[in-house]
Amino acid sequence: MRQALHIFGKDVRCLTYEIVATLALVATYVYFSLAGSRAFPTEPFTAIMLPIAAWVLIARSIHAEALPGTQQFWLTRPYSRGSLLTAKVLFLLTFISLPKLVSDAIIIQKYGHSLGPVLPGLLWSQVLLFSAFILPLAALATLTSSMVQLFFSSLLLLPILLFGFGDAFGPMSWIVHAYTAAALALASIVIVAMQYSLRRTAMARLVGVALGLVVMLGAAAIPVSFVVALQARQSRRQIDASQVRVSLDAERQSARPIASRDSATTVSNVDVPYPQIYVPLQITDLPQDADGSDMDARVIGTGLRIEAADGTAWPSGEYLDTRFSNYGQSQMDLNASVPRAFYTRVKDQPVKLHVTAYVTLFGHRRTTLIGSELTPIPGGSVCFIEPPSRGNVRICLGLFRSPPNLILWPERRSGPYETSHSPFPADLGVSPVRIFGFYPGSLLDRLPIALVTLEPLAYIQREFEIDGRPLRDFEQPPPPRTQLIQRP
Amino acid sequence: MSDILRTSGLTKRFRAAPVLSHLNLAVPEGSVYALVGPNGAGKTTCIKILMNLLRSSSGYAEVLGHDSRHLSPQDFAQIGYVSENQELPEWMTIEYFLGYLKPFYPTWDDARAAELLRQFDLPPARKLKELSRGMKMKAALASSLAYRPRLMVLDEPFTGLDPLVRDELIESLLDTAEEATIFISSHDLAEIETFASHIGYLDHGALKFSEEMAALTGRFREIEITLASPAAIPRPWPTVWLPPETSAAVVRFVDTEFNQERTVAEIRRLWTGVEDISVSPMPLRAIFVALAKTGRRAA
Repeated sequence: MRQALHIFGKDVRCLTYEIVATLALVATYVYFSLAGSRAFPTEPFTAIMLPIAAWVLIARSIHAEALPGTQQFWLTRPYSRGSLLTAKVLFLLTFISLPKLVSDAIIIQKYGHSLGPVLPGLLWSQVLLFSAFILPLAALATLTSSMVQLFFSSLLLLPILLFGFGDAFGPMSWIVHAYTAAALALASIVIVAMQYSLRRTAMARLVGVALGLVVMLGAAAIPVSFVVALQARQSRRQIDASQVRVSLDAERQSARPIASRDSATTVSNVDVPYPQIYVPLQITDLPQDADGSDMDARVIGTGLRIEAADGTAWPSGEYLDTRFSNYGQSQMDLNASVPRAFYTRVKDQPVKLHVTAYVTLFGHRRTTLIGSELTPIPGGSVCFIEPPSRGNVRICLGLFRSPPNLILWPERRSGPYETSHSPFPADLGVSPVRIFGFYPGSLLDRLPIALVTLEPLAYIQREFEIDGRPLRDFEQPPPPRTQLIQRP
Repeated sequence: MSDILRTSGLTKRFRAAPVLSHLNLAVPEGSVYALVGPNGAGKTTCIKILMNLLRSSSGYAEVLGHDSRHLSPQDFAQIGYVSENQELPEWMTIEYFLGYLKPFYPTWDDARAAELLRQFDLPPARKLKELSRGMKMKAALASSLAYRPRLMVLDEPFTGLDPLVRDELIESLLDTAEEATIFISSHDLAEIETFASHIGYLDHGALKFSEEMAALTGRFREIEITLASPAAIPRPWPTVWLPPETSAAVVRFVDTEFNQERTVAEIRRLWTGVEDISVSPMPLRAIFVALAKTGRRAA
């Protein structure tokens, strides 16, 4: 440990300017977060600069004893590799993790939280910061010997971030995020261990590329069936949801405009490669909550498969990435983009639509009165309403993560994308405060107003078929465009 | 005398190209061993494998009795390594550099470090990046001599240095030689000759010879024969004689296994009408040049 502290001391002296610049940036960030509007907790410039400053510190500290190469003086000195690694970890914890911990702790005070209740979120966000940010960059730094090399290597992380930290599964995306963070951390540990113990850079680079591909492809290939099955295991109560039905909302289906039938004009859309298919859905026969009221339901994922009369089908495999919209209690739309060639061929044939819907049942309804003061709501968030002078907007802020509960403002309803079904107390992010439920509200004359929260209680999957309808009945007219051809 | 450095069948290939080929080298403890050879002979690669900076393709290298692939911090605490291309922490001052290294070495000698600074005329407060090449080399050497290493490994330490600095470095190495083994690769043969006790000649990755300096200089002789009339080069040419140069009736060559009686007898057997035989001892540089030329011709 003595040698580790000795190397740590040297790094502090060597990187004094970088350390001072990073700490100044953190202080600026905290200052703006405290001094700025409570509705905009994140100051964008420093929020972007902080990860960059951290990237520089990681690179400079690891590169101070670069591992690739044969000409560095330290390679033939009596360095203990264990002490060297300990020194680097200590440095990154001291000058990246600790400032983030302190700044988060200061910022969340502004939102009326004492440290005790948010400690799990505070600590878990540190775990995420280290495993999904510091470790991967440190691993890349062990494979490079200059900032330029590291910069271009860091670009290789972008596809992993894209596939691994997206929102493809809405409230269930935490499963992919958790996989990505864990896989990234594991891959990084393997590379760091290889480099600090064996210092075989060529082999470690190959392993790095292979592991990076595994992480990325793994994140991209996680099937929704797995995600849903895993999410279903998170159900808090045993609820008999066997009678819950998801079906075509025939009333809305017949009332909606159909492109081929109702358009006064024919859109020149031959160049549109993917005509839009909309299927209005309804959820019925919801179970009752403990207080006797019906539970609420929201779709959190949908899938569609179209089988034509001639035996062809689209997609050929499982297609589960359709879009959807919730229109409040029990009503929602499924939306899919169908390849034009398939659509043109089968649009007039009777088809079979195989619909899959993943649904969250919400209950345990609770009401909280919200005024202009910060008010905690069930689930760990705080809400307030800005006075008319500041726009009269309704705002909720989550600490370290999106809220677990469905939040229903009067007249407006939270969509499932604003909630996260993650069991973890924090998501990865620069700011400890997540803003959501930011509505350009109609003017509210009287405060406080009642806000309803509902807990996610169960996650279910339903499938049904719509048979014998031509596909064109489900086509949505494309948005109006400037070049229209008048019907003769 | 035991061997402090030893290689056995050491081979290194970069992609398909062989750089070292089945190298068998032994450096006795207490010696000043000079590894010489033309550019690209594999000297630096050999040293880098010994210092665990590179991995060999096959074969074995041993340093201080340990496999060079598993040299521990305790081993490196007994080794001083200085290379012409070594990257030093340039942001450090000389004083900070020595102070930083001190805790790594249980045998660090403050008095010796101060003496080396004085001897090399190194300004303690000057940053390494502000030093000339020669000064930097002196700083590197001082940082390696201050803990009185058991083994000093120097890779082309004199390259590009002016004669004054070179003399200073050699002087300090000679001081060290009393208590350490020195393994040095160098082109500076004139300087090497003054203090090396052993010498190895590496060419195209193969060790052509490795022996004590006195034995080497004792067996190499430049021979000049004056004949009565020009004569053809006899065939077959003795294998221990390097290829000759002829000019009219004069034949010059290098005998690599000189023995007065045997050499003269062989000359008289090969040529008739020998008028004069001149035998000259060869400085190391001349031996090196003759071997390098022969190697190039063979290649």
